Amino acid sequence: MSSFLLFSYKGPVNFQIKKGLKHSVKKRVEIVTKSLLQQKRIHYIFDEMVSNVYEYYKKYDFYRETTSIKMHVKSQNTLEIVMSNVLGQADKKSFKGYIDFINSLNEVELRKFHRKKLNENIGLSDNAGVGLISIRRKSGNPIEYIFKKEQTKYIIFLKTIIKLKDE
Amino acid sequence: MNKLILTATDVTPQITLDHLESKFEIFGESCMENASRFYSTLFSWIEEYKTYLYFINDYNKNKKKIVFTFHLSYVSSSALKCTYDLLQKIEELKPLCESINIKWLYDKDDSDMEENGNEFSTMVDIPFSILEVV
Repeated sequence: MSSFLLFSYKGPVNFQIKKGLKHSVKKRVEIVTKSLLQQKRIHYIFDEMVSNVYEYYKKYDFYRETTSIKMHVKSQNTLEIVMSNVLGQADKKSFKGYIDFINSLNEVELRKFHRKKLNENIGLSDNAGVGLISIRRKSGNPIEYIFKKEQTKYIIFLKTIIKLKDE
Repeated sequence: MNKLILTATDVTPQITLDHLESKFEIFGESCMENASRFYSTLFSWIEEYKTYLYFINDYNKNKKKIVFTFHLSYVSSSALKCTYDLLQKIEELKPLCESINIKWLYDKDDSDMEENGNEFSTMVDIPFSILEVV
């Protein structure tokens, strides 16, 4: 399969926009895999990535911030989802540390950590931790990231790689 | 107390919590904007049902056999957490029932939802039947 851009979006995010994006993504994903389970996993990862962004924006009143989303099909038969998230300066360190931590866990450890998180009392907007574990578990790959500094804030670009293979 | 019947939407599941018919079902997609708020209605209902069971047990002198059926086709991570919290609430009904079982249904080939069922079955002390729906 040759590389191509499957989907892209740049703009604000909220729950209604997410619903619309999910619908658009669904149609595109059907092009690249016939496996219903894989389609569902891609929707799930996309959904969790967008939810993490808007929940964060909601928590910190970043209503004017936007996100950019790109889904690329790569020639190695993988799908890459890259999404940007504006971060407050204070959160850079904890975000980095948390992603590094979950990337270091193997499958069994991730499952155990997920169970631990399910047992914790977490607030409405503090679900990003569970979402990132789910993304990592469903994709089976580490979550890649880079930071870009912009005045008083950072932008984190998260990349999730999903192996495309009909099951 | 009243039955709790909620019609499914594209982001919320169909809920049937009917104490008179002993019918307890949660079917559909669970990926709402505010999962905690949605599920808090269910938690409150379970609390009321607990009190109801206490009095009906005293009156009838025999306890009920209860089956909760879950057939979820899609669950976001926040809704998954709430589903687990709901199972823990259901577990609290155990002393008031002769038996409680969870029937966990999943769509054909949906190994992720099957895994969720298997995972939950080890996290709460209630017997699970995990069945594929063909």
